[in-house]
Amino acid sequence: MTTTPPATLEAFLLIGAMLFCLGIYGALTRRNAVAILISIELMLNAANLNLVAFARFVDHSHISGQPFAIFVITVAAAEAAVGLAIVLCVYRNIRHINVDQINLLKW
Amino acid sequence: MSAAFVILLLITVGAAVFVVTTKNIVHAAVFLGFTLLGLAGLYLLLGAPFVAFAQVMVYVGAVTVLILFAVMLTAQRLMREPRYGSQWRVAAGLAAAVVFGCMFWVINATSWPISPLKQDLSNSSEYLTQFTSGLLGSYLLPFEVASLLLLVALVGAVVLAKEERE
Repeated sequence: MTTTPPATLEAFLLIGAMLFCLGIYGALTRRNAVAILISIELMLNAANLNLVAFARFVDHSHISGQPFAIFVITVAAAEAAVGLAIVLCVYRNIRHINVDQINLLKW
Repeated sequence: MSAAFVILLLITVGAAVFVVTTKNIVHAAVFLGFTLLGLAGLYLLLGAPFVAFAQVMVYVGAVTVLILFAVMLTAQRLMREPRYGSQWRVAAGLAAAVVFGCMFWVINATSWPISPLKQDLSNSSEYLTQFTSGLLGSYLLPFEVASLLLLVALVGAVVLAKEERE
């Protein structure tokens, strides 16, 4: 049973590139630390889409790239948990989370 | 291109645009959920049902809710964030556009070594067999390291977020 793919590899890679660049734009323009974390999640997902697309189109077994995507999801979940805990910690100490005003280490 | 692909593409990228442009952070988190759901659909199209369901459970179910909790706990001035000036935003948009241009050029200029799909495994029991033999066979060490990472992240998050009492 051969199946036609829903779209070309380039189409999936372009979606990944678009999501990544939207993530860059968000991470650069946001001031709220939680919003920056949201943008970073976008970028991680773009990388994940590329991994799964390469597994489907380039890899011979068509599957061995997928465990990589699972690992990226795992690391992203750990990153989100620790990142948001740090954000809560910062908020408790200085009552805001605007990253351009967090300058305790600046002299 | 199939119709399902176009619909999922519009959902994913459209919601991602709202994620980075909306002023309200609660809206950004909800739109992030839509982007992640669209990506799960794309994974299904790519013959990766396990990744799709892990995406729905971990990202849509857990990470989005975690982000919403963090937004609520750090709410200030009706969740509207002060934005940078328009000059800075134009510069950031330019930087993102340049990165996208480079990636667009590379994606189109490369001739990808595409190997034809001989058999669609995603609907058969063969899929899980192959997938788990990869996850627990070739990638056993990263798998164990990932479990250690999750444990460390769990303890670290609890220690960081816990209120200090004298």
